[in-house]
Amino acid sequence: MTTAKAIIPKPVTTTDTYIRMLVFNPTQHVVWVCQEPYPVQNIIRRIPVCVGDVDFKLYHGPSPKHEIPSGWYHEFLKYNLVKPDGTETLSLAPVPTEYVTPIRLVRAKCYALVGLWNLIKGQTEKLDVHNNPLVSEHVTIEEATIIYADIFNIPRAQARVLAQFKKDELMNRLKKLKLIELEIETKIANCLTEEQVIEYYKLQTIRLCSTQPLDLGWILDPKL
Amino acid sequence: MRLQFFNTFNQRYSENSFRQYYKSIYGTGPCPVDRFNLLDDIDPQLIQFNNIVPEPIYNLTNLPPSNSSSWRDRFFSLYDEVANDVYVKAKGKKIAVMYSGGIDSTSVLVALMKHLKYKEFLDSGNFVVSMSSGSIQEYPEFFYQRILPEIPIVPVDYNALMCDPNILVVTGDSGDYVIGNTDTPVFYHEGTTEILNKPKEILWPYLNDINKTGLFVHFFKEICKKAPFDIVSVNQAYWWIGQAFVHQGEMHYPFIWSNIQDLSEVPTFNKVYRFFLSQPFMTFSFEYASVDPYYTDFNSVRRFPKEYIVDYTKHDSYLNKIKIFSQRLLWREIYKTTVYEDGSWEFKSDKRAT
Repeated sequence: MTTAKAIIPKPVTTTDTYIRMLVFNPTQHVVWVCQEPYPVQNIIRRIPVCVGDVDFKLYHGPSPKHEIPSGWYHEFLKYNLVKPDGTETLSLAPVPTEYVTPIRLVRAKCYALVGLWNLIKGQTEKLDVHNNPLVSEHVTIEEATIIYADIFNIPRAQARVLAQFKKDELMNRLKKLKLIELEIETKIANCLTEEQVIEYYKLQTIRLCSTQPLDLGWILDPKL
Repeated sequence: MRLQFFNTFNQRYSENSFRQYYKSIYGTGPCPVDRFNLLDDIDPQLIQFNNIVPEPIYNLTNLPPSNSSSWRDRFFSLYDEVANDVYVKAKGKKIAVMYSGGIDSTSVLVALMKHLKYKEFLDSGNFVVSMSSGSIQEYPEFFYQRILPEIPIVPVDYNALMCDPNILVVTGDSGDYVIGNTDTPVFYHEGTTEILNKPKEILWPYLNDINKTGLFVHFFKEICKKAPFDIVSVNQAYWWIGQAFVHQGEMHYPFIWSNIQDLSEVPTFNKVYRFFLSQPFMTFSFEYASVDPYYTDFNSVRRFPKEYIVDYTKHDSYLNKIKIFSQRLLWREIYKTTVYEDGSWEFKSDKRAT
C-alpha cells in the first residue's frame, strides 16, 4: 500500500530563472525558448504550439549556469539542449542524425511564427487596435455617440456617423490582422521543409511592411 | 520581360540581385523605374523598364514670366477641368475619393464638390469619402463643417475599393510633384534652409555627404542633362527627379496594396483616377517648371493648392497648415512586389536576377 503524498508548490523567488520551452516530442530536444524576467509578473503570450510535434515544458529554478557551464542558451542554439521531465532539470545530448532535419524544421516554424506574430503585434499597437475602447463589445455606438456629440459639439446624427465610422475602421483593421494571423500559422504549420518556412517568412515580413525582421537564418545556423 | 513596377521596400543587396547591380552604378538609393530612359549606365541587356505614365504634352515657348499671376489662375482652372473629366469617367459608377486630409486630397475633394454633378452623384449614393481617423486631424474644420454633415464616410480598405467593379477610386497621388517636389531635402546652406531657388550645384556636397562614393551625384548629374530645359535651381532639379522616377510607382499603389488580380487597368484611369497625373496638370507642371518659378522652402511650393482650398472653404488659417503625415498610420499591406509589362505580377523577395 502506498501513501499519497501532497504536492506542495515550490515557492517562487525573484532570483529564479523561469524559461518556457517547446521540446521536439521524439527526442525532447528544446526547439523554442522564452525566458521570463520574473515569473509572478509573467506576460500572457501566444506560444507556437500549433506547429505540431512539440510539447510544452517549463524550467523553473536557479540559473542553470552551474549545471551547464557552457551556457544553456548557447547549447540550445547548437541544438544540444534537452529538457527532461521535472521543472528544475536540463541536460545535454546531441541530436540523433535521423532527427536533425525534423528538429531544424520545427525550430524554423516556431521562430518564423513568433517573428511574424511580433510584426502583427507591432501593427496592432501602431494602429491602436488592441486597447481602443471602441473595440470593446461593452461600448455601444449609442454610448459613443453621446460622448462625441458632447465633446465635438455636433448633432447626434453626425456623432453617430462618426462613432460608427471609427468603430468600423478599428474592427476592419482588427479583422484583417486576425485573418493574417490565422493564415500565417496555418501555412507555417503545414510547411514541409525548412526552405519553405524561410521563403514564406521572408515574404510575409515584406507583406507586413517590416524593415528589420528577425533573421531566421541566424537562428537556425548561428555563428557561435 | 520589362519591369513596370519594382518595390524596393525590404529588398536586400544580395549577390546577383537587381538591387545590388543598381547599387554598383548609382549607390544605395532606391532603384526607380526609369520613365524617360535617362539612366545610360543601366545595361538594357540586363534590365529594361516599361513606362506607363502618360507622356507629357507641353509647349515651352511664349510662356508668361514666372511671377505672372496667370500661372495661379491657370492652376485653379485645371481643377475644374479635371473634375469634369472625373465625372465623365465615373458615369454609372460610384466615386470613392481617397481622402487623407492633406493638401492634395483636400483640393481634389473641393474640386469635385464644386462641380455641378456633385449633388447628383451624392444624392444617388454614388459619392463617398474613404478616409482614416487620422484624416480628421489634418483638417478638422473641413471635416466637421463639410464632410461629416453631407458625405458618407468609409474607412480606407484598398481591397474593398479596388475589387468592386462599380467604384472609381479618385486619388490625389503625385500632387506633391506638380510644383517642385515635396521630397526635396531640407539642409542648411549659407545659414538658411531656404534653398529651393539656389543653384542646383549646392546639392552636390550635400548628396556626397550622404553617399560618399559619389555615385548618387553622378546619378543626379546624368539625369539633369536630359531634362527638356536647362535645370538651374534646386527646385527644378528635384522637380525633374519627381517627374522621372516617382509617378510610375504611385500609379501602382492602389493595385499593389490590394489583392486585385487583374492589373490591366494600372496604366489607365478607368479604375483609379490620379487627379494630378491627368494631362492638364502634367502639361502645367512641365511648362511652369521651365520658367523656374521662385520658391524658397517646402511650404512655399504648396501655396497654389492651399489657396485653391481656402478660396472655397474660407478658412484662412489653413494657409499656415503644416504637414502632419497622418498617412503613415494608414493600414497598408503589400501584396505585390514586382509588376511586368504584360500585367503579370509577383510577390517575392530578392531573387531577381540581373
